[in-house]
Amino acid sequence: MPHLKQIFLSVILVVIAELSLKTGVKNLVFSHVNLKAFFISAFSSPFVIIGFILIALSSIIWIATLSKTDLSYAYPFVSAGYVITAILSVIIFSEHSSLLKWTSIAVISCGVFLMSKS
Amino acid sequence: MDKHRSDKLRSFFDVEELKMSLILLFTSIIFSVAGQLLIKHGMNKSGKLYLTKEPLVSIKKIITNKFVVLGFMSYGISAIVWLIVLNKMPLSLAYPLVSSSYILIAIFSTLFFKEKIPSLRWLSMAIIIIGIILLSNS
Repeated sequence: MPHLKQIFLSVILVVIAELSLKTGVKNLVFSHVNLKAFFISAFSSPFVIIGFILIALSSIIWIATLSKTDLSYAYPFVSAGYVITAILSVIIFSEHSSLLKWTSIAVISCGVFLMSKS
Repeated sequence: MDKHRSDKLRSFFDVEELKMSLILLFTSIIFSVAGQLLIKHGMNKSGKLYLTKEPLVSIKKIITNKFVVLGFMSYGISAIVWLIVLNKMPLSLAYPLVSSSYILIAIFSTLFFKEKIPSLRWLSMAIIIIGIILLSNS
């Protein structure tokens, strides 16, 4: 499987980035009266900064990989990212977990996978 | 206030909260889709780029292209709204819903760039939509 490591690295970096962003903002108090305070505390969180850096890094790896491999080969791994993110958020943040939720995520993943074959 | 009433009131606010979060989530998605379309439009107009043969010329062409710049600004707005979404919503719900951007991208690509969509891709989009509706109800 060519370039599998790079593709997987790019997907995993986004997963870590989203978990990091979530960690950075989950305990902030949001009020639309004071948006500025929300964003000041969000952008002074190292988790938020690291999250955005990882997303940028992942995009560079993704684009570099796409220049060497077909999008239709690389794309299904994006749907793996949804599943991994959901599993990890339930474990790390004790988010709500139900059969319907996992079924829906599986259906979405099938759709994304199928789309890459079209 | 008796307990029953306060519970009812709380669930009303939860529903309002969720509606608000979903609106913000779709705002973030729409800005990222707009960003993608603007960048694609800019790159369509820029002609062929030869990144390895003439890297500086290519990079200059990319960063001086006003559609590409607008596209990146749109990405920026999307990222900022996304932070509010993550503050309000479980990640395991918000992140899979981002897949609705593929559907918007496909529809706008046919409208604006006259790209052809094969029937298997329509079917995939329908499956993704079913997943999204199910997930929103979970």
